[in-house]
Amino acid sequence: MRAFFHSFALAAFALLIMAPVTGCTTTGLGDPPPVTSGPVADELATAKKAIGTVAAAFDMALDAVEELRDAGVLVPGSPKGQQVAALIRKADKALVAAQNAVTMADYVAQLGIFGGAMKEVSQLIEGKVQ
Amino acid sequence: MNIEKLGRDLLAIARAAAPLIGKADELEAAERLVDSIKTGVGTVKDLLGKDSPAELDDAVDELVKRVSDRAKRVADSLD
Repeated sequence: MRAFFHSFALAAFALLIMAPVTGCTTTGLGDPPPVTSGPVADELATAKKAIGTVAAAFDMALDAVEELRDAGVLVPGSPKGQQVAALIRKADKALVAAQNAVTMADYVAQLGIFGGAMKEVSQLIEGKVQ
Repeated sequence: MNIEKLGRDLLAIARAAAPLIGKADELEAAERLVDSIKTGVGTVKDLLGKDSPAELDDAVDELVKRVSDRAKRVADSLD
């Protein structure tokens, strides 16, 4: 077990999922972005920027997952590996659905699904969920 | 919260600890993660700096497509 790297990767992963990103309008991947009360155009621009921010953070989280896989912490084909794979697919589907959402309610709901899936990944890696 | 600074702080801790426990290869992996965070923060800053809605749309669409394609590959690698 590569405990040192495992601990570091977990800390990085938790930051990516839970922490706000510098200069971002969202409150972190785990929460949907706030809906502003401004004009529709402003709302859509804010939403678009938030989707970009979430996608960038998802990209970083995928880096962490790949490092954990390469370090042998996540074993392909194992129950945990398969669970993480399914959750990544769920998060991916929600991200794309949020990007294509035509209402703010759907947009927020899809980002909620995305955040929930990524939290589950984090918990699986930390061993809180089997 | 400044995620880039946190990444740097985490790396500083890792650098300090690595010689003590002989984990150079793990430090390299940790450094790759910090590089990933730096790149991600740069991407976000670039997106937030776009003034033109059309430019922003194109950049976000391209980013989401790239990340979505990658997510599928990473998921496949874990099955």
